[in-house]
Amino acid sequence: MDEEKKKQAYRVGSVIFILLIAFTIGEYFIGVVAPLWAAVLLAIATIKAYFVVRDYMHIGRVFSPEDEVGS
Amino acid sequence: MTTGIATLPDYLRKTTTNRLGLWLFIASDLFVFAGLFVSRFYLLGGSVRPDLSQPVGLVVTTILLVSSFFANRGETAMRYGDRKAFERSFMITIALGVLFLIGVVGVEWQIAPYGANQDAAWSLFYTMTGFHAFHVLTGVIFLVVVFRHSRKGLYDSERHWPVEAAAVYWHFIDVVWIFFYPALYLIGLPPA
Repeated sequence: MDEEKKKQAYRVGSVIFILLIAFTIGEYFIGVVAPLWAAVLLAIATIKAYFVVRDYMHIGRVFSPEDEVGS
Repeated sequence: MTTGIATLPDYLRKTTTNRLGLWLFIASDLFVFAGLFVSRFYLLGGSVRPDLSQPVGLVVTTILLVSSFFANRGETAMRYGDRKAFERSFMITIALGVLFLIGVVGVEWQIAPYGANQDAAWSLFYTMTGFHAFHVLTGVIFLVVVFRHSRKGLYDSERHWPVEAAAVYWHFIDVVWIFFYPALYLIGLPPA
């Protein structure tokens, strides 16, 4: 059970990493082709930050610490 | 007589408070970075950016993203009691943090066409990257301290708040760069 949870946690980390890299490559090309699309570039940055804050920084733990007990 | 060793429920309660404190610190630190971010657009607008090396920007950004991946992996490993995997991942994170610092301060600052005293915009570039680099440096120190404590066997799967704190702080540094990267390297054209 624990092993399964661990694998799942690693999997989430890897998926988020792939998404971050994909968005960064996209950002780079937009920056090269259309550097005046500030809103698009900032929107991509916001999406990337959202994933990091949710899945790497685990902001949910601040609001539901009871999940920790006994886990 | 107290032994100084908290019971697990006590430790978890304390961790809940510590976590809130860390997030309050992050929120307060974020205001400074937000001020710098807004200043960049106030000074240069959305059509001009500093004349910086695009490959260096992409490489240092990738380095920081990879370091965040390993910080997350390390924290997950400790959470599930795999101390060896934790140490391996944090060691890689530390090395990548140092590489990022070399990339920004040792390369980008050296090849930048102007110094900090050129004008307000260039002064802001050095302030943004310098302030962020200082956070990276403190993050690396934090990671090294946690790594050393882990080698002394101070953490396990249930009691590892410092590991979580170091990882969260490191990801915060990553989040700041996620916004600084387009603001400094991608949005706008370099001055003709």
